[in-house]
Amino acid sequence: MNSTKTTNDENRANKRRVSKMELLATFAFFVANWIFWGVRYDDFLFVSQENSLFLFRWDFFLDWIGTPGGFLGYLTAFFLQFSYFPLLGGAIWAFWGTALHWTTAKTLNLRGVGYVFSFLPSCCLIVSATWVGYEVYIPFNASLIYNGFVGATLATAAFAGFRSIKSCRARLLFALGVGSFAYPGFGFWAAFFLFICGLDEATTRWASDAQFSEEQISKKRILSAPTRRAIALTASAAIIPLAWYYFKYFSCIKFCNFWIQGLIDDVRDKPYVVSAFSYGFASLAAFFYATTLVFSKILGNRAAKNAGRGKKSKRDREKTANARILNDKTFEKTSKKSNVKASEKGADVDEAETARRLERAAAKSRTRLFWELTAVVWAATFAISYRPATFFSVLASTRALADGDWERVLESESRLTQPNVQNVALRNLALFETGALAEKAFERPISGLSTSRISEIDLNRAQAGSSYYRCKFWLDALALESESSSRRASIETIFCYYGRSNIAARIATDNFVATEGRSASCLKTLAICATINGEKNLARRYLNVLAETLFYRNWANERLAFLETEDFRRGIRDSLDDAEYAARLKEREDAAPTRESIENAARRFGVDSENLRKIAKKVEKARSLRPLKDAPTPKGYPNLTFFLNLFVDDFDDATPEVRELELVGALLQKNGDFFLKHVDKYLEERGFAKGGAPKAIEEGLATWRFSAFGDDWDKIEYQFRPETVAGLTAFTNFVNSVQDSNSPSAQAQIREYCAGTYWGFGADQSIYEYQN
Amino acid sequence: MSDEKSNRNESVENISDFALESAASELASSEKKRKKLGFVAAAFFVALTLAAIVSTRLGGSGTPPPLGEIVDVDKLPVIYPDYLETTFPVNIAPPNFRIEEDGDRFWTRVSGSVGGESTISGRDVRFPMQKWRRLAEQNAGGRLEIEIYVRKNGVWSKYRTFGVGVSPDRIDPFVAYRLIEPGYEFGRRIELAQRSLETYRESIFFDNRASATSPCVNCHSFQNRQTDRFLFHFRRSDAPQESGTIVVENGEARKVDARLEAAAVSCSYPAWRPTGDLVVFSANKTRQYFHSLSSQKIEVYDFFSDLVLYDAKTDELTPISQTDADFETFPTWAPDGKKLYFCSARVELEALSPENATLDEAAKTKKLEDEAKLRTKDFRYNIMRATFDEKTRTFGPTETVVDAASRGRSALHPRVSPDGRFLAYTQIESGTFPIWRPEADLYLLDLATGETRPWDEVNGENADSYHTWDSSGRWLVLSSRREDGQYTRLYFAHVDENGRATKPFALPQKDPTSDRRRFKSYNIPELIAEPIDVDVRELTRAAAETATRRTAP
Repeated sequence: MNSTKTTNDENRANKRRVSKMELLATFAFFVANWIFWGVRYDDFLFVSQENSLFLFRWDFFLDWIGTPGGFLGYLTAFFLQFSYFPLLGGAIWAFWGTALHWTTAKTLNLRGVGYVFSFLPSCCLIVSATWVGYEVYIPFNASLIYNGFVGATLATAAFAGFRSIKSCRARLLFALGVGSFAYPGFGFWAAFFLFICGLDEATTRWASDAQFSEEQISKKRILSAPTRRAIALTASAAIIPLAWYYFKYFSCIKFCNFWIQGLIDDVRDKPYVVSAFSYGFASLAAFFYATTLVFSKILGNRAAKNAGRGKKSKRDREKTANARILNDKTFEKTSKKSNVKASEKGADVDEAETARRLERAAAKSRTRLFWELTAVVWAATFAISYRPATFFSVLASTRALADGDWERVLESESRLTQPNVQNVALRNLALFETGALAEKAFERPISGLSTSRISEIDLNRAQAGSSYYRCKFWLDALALESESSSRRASIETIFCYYGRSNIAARIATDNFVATEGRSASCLKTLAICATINGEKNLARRYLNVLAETLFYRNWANERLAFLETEDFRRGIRDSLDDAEYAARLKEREDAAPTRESIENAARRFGVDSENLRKIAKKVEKARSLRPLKDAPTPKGYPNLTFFLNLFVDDFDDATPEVRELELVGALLQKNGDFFLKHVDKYLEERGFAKGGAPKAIEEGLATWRFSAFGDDWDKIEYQFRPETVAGLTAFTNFVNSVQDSNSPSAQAQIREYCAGTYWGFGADQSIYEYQN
Repeated sequence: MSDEKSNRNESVENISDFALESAASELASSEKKRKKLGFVAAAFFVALTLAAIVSTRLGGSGTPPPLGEIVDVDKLPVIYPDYLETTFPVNIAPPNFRIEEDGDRFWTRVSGSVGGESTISGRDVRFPMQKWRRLAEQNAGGRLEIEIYVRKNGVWSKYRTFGVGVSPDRIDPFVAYRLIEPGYEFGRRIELAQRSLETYRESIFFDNRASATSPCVNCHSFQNRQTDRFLFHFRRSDAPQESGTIVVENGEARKVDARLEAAAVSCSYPAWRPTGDLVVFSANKTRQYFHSLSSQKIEVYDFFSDLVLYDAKTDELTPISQTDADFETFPTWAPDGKKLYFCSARVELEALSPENATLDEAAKTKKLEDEAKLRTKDFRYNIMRATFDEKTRTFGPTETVVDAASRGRSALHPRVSPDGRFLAYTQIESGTFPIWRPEADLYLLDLATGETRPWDEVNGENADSYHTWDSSGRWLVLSSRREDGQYTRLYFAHVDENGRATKPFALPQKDPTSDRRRFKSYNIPELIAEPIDVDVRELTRAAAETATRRTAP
């Protein structure tokens, strides 16, 4: 009897230990989640909330709930606003991640090692959020990054309700009822709930199914009731949204979105890729549910309990527990009688002891397995979450911009060995704002690779068998790269800070339209632009909305107060007179530089024409490196190249700082015509002594005047100005001295000497390859 | 003894039973009392909540100002929308407004010149619908005097009384418009809406989100302000072959391939002839460019523009004008359908010169587009008129009605009043797109006398552009950016028989500030005499089908 009692006690103690272990794991999961979001992904969280908006207002709420899944989006936006303080936001998303895990564990009754599987849906959503987050950073639909946490948790909670119902009819009605009424508010997740109910129905044997033969149930014959229920529920996951679409949402959502609406709204530019990813990850979540269901069966936590006996209600479970206690007592009584006999048999005691030892060892091994599996799941989540350095540098810079901290932008970019175009753009902006653009623009790489664009090096690595780079290839094929439309992400801010208020407002307006008016970041830009333009009422319109938010209130109120000051009234710039503008345009066109032949120029300035020919060959070679005219890639970049393409006509109207910016932009763009056309005016206005202009301008001046050759060498025409003669000779000599440009030191020299020209560009690229 | 004992025991038992009973009854009664108290408390809280809700709904933060303690303020109160000294039609929905003065309590008294009075407390002055109707009906042709009292720091102030007129002329009860975010390249959610002017009810009759690629929808036009026949355009820039014109006749919609093949251009700016089956379109090739510093943010220009006659019965498209050197646009019919008004600009582009005739079509188009962009400021439109012969379906010689070009201006959007006496148009410095021109103003031409004048009564500080008359010719709706220069809002003005207009009032809203939070423009307002009663599904179905034409081109 004693040994039995001891065994029972041990069992109970073991259960308690397992419970504690599970609780500990849950707590650790919460903490890990918190660190993940609040510390490691803090910039990500901050920028997400900037690209979202929550207003505690009825019409805003009504606007949200106009489309399926709107209520969930509204809820998510509510939680997301707290990510203004990433640690607080991190705690919130950690809570929802943990809540999802907890509801999964409780709903599926996962215990012991099986408990680890309850982490999977949360981990899957974390991975999904980081990847989708990267993708939707561009269209700014931030709340769809996170709505999975809330949606999946609520769906699982409803699923728990479903499983607690014994009557199959009531269960079916419950699922259909919840699915039907939840669809408008929760969109995809209502359908998801129905889907997992169907899955559960297909894999569970209920007591009420006793009327069906074992053969019928095991073979899941189409006519058996459990199968019919499973089919009905799974089908309703598609039919209910379809019905809602037909009767209610026909006019405001696209047919292709009727199912996934709520999980994801259609985002512009690349809706299918984004949809595919979100959908894929959601399906993956469903897959993990299926996995956990299957594992729960293998581990016997559910299948054994339900097989042939039916699923038990709480009352039934209590009855069973009482019966067990009673059985234990009866067993005790019987054991008392046999105790004497047992004591006589010392061998039996040893056997029991051995059994206990074995059990302890097994428990230990289970514990080890539990923690090992947990560690593997978390480590995998951590490892496959999307965190490229360039993207996170962009996020860090964007966050720094919100504080106007230019040094942080520069510091963030300087850590990168291979910046992407957005990093370069933000770095240039920081240099411009700190007045060092013309001095330092070319000290760092002037071109960048897009984050997931396959470079030649990557290609080699992939061919050498690297699975990581193969994966990159695969992703590239799916066009998962934000750079292709990166101007959406940061260009409004960039133009705004460059003082191009109209264009910044134009892009911000487009982005604002894309988010259906739910972006604090766009509102901020629009308010700033309107203030710069002196459009008081317009600025007030945007600021009044921001003043209703929880965390941008002070920001908005300060600016609202500024609109009433004398400083604002003085700052309103006079609009240009159109006729005057046209006259200036004509004057500029008339004053376009004239050209002459290379021989004439060589004669005039006393330069050896052969030297010029050598230079010309270099120029020709370098020219092949520059982006093709009208090539879409550089045009779309939010850097000075793109900037210049739009505003070449504004040079005369710009401030001296912006003129300098445009000249540097011309160098980046290899637009020598523009550079030569305007550089004199700039130099004259700034009053620089010869050779005293900022480095980029000086070098651009020297080299561009050599590079203005046409492609037809026989009819070369170019222009020289007297002040460049010395530079010409020096440059010719220099080019001769570095004929062997394959050596890294020569390349470095070229880069140092010729930065700001397409010579520099070519050298820059070659150095890149050498370094990598 | 034992009996005594037993008696005592019995009595003790009785006592204890009694005590228990009384204790139990006490408990029960105290339970009842508690329940009662709880009920009373709950009722109190419910009543309190209801009162709070009611007072909030009524905006009741104040009581009538005590007499004798009022300070007169010699200025007009600031209210939003600005309804000071405006005139409303008798059938308009209550023109609610917000008092924008500093204060903690507000009180408003509205009294009619003929009779009737209404008092409302709160910053938001929201008239109850029935009360407003009675007041308006009672004072039709008269005025409503509005007194506003504001309490600040315990002192009540009375602002200068202002009045609003109530015109007995009823306005067409509905207005149709397009709701569009003023984006530049991206129309995520464009809706065609109708709004009852007698209530606040707005309904969407077409939403571009229903279509696969969220196309642009624009240029809705009704025949003679009736809704049994109307059309609008449906454009897909990514798939021009799927673009088309949705023509709705008696509730049935179809997508018509209204493209001028010769020029490979879709038709736009429609004008239904008041009777019959004819519509005149303008076929335009349009581009836009942006100013990064100018106060004018955007310029939209045409580099091809001709007029086309469309027969809704046969779907036949007949070019009216095919002149390269003249850009014709914005057609509109005289009320009798015998004359067509339109805008025309003489353009002398090098790309159209004989030297460039040998260029291939793509190169020519590119050259034309580039040159038109540079020369936009030279394009100045006049308003022209041509007679129309219904039998032969031909147009007579054109005559200039408004010669704006010679004054260095561009006259656009002609609209003839239903009585045929006045022509209202928009004037800008140059070009064809007034909505992005801050200087855009309305002008009025008296067709009887030929006198033209800037319509100062209705013009605001920013762009005033698209306008239409109602059926009676007594009301005009115009779209204007006077509020902030960015978001177009609707304004209504009364016009008397001599063309004198009253100060325009903004479209009334139930929540007076709701338009401040609406980040959409009201575009192309068209007053209509009856509601649009077409199933959204029918329109969406038609939008999804392939555009066809009954008569082969």
